[in-house]
Amino acid sequence: MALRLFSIIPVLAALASGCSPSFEASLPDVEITQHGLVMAGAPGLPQPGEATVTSSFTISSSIAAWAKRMNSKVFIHQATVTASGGLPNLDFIKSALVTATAPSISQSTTEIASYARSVDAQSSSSIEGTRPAPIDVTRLWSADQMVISLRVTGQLPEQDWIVDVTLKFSGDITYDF
Amino acid sequence: MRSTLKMVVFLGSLLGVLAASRSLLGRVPDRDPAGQIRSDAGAEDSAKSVSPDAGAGQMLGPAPANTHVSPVDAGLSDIAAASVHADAIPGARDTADSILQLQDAGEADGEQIIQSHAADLPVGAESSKQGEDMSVAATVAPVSPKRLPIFGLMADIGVPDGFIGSLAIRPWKWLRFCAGGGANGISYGWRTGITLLPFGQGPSASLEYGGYLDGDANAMAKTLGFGSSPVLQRIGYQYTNAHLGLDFGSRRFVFFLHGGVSVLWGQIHNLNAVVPAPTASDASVTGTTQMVVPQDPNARVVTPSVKLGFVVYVR
Repeated sequence: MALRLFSIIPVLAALASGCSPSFEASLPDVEITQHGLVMAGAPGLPQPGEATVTSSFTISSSIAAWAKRMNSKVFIHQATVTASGGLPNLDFIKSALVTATAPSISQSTTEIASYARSVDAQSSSSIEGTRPAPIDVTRLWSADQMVISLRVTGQLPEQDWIVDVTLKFSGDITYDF
Repeated sequence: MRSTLKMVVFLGSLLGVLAASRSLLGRVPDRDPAGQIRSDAGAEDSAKSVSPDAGAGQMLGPAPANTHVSPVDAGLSDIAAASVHADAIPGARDTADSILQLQDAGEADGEQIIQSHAADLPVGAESSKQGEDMSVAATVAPVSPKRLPIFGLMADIGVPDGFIGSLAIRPWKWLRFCAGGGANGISYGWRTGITLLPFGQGPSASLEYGGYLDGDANAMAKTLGFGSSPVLQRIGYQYTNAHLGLDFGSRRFVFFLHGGVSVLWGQIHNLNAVVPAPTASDASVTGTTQMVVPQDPNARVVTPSVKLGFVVYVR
């Protein structure tokens, strides 16, 4: 009888060995903020009118290495641009576009968020660009560097001005040991 | 999704193993407290000599003197009293001795009486004081199968369960419930579960659900040789176990070894304390880049698990 009972142990061991540990984490809200992004001024326009300037920053592996090594699914939900450096508001911005690219993977750009000022918009020190659905940026995230570009159009200041750009991410991380 | 699939595959395997083990082990007979094996066939045989239908005060018909009236076989292991007029019944001495021995071995928690009154047998229940077809008439209280102790105390140790002390309830020999509390070296927790033992002992299948309150795991991390981390300051989790195992013993003391798969889930706190500090961006940008985790992430771990322990049934 004992031998028969112990004959089940290999079955149990096989079942246990077939289940390798795995780790999953859901990060519903992760914010990456670029502080002090300098936007070039638009001096010397021949006549008052709209101008467009673009500035970019890089999210490198140094800040996201802990997540890049895992099998992640990364989404961007929202981009927020906030006035900084003494800038009172961003009312002069008529439209804005935030894009992402990973030069080491592809030169193609992915639109993250866009903004268009409405006629009756109130004065605000920040603008928010959203998309109907989260943007999957997993491929871009896996690159060593992800370049985020902000392009704004409007009656821009003649002097350089500074903004903070915040990107809201969510992600699922899985790791099999 | 993969974890759910793993659980489904595991539970399927669990059922398969139980089915296989049933054919492998065959029928495991019950054991009475005196160590006698009682099979279903034996119960039927005993019913021929002492009818289970015999109610209190009912006199049984004649039985051969050389037929040992086994209270155990008849489900009469709880003997309160037995009196046998062995002197009056040649050949009944063995029966009397057997009954008295079983009385010593049994538990006196019933009021079942076996009496052999060979000299006072009524008409219709004949007892020949001489001759080979000596009859022993038995008056028995309501017959009930031997009842296993129901309530017990259980203790076990394992991962991710930690040390758990529980109250165990065994309403039937093939089913055991448990609920209790314990510690995992980080904080205190609780656990409840159900165990199926299709044969009363041997192969078992368990499902359990428990949880641990938040606690500081840095001390344990240092003990295990790891460094401290703010993330470890609040570690708490809930978990479920799906285990197969072996349970040894069936009556008063049961030792078990269970193993299988566990799913743990909880929140990761203080993650902001470990994300990289704001860093300078590339040379073209003067500012810094900062990562913030405003909402604690939810984490889940699927891992093999094992535990061993014992149950002492007290009542």
